[in-house]
Amino acid sequence: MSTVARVNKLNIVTMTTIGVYQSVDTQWPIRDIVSDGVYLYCAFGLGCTYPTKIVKVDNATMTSIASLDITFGITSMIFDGTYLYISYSDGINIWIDKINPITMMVVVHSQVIYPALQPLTFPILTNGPANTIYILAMRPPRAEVITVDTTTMTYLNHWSELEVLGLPVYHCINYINGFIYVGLSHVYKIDITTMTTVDQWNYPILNQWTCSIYNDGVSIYIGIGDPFGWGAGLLKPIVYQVNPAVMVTTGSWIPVPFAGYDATDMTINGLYIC
Amino acid sequence: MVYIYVSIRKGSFARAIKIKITDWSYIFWGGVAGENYCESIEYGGGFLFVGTTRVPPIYIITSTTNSGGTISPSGVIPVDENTNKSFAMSPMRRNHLANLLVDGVSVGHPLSYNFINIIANHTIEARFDLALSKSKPLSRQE
Repeated sequence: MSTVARVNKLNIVTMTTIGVYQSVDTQWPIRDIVSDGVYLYCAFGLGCTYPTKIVKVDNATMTSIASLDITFGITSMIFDGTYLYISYSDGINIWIDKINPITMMVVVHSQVIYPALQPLTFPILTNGPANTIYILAMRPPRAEVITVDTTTMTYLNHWSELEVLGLPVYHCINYINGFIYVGLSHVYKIDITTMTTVDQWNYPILNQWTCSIYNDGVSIYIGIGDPFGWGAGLLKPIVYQVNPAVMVTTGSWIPVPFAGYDATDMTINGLYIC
Repeated sequence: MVYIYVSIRKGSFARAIKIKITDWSYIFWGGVAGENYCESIEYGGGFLFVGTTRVPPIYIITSTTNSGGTISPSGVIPVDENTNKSFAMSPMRRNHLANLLVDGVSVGHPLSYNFINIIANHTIEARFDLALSKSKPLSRQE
């Protein structure tokens, strides 16, 4: 086996490749990439229970300058401007590691202690307001969002919802201006003060999943992954534009040349507040 | 100007698309063929970074035989891509290898066979039969 993982560096004007970091025999795919503007941090894993790693890559030269071995497969990685946070699971419990990106050392190794019964699996992270992160994890048949205080790495509160489709193929979570948006069989809008669902967006086509949610200050953009082709034919939208105030679709992007493609992740060229 | 960047994948082909949300116009990155995963895209430092990974597939060779001998290894054998795999055929006493079928096509009756540089699933079937000795009469009259 010679697994080859690449980070392709693109010119955003021409959308052409101008550099590549390549790692051979990494065993697992690149799960997440985060950037601090100077360095890239590449997390390997795919919800597996095998050891993986994080590689720190020089943005300019696209060469590896440090790495950190992790016990289990990383399911998610975020950067809050100071620390990296990674999530992983052994299939029953979930952990969050807080990592100093300068030294590439684990600062806090923390099992997520949660009032509900285990198991919790497939955790993914998003940055919350000051000193909090949110974890979306599956506890079939329910999905859970857990708030963690990053100063103490302890549980604060949670949200729970019956997930009618069972384990989602894609699931995502994003915090936008006082609300958490969770992409499951629906996209739920959650008030962070009460941790209750205040609205939801239903997929215009059934049996789809959200891979990512971003906003531009006015709308939220929902990337659609549909790996089984359960959507209506090949010309299904890859991105929906939604008004977050009323959770109503205001636009969609159906790329004729890319019929049959699924969105796998999304980003935006800036930070915006709806 | 606000753009969203979306990584997309179809089968084993990964691409990235830059979309101008005011009019949904777009340009795209030609991408990489043969990639199994394309799960991460990140904007940072004025550049776009797209993670892609190729995990080589595991292929299956199914080996079978009739009751006149053995093939080793036998059954369902997983093999890594671009590797080789050898099979040995052993007829039981008084039998011989009458025919060796590889992917349903006869390759004669060699007692060993080697799949080289495997890039697909295969089958191998050994058919044994009674060996007919020339020194032994076909029938005997009492």
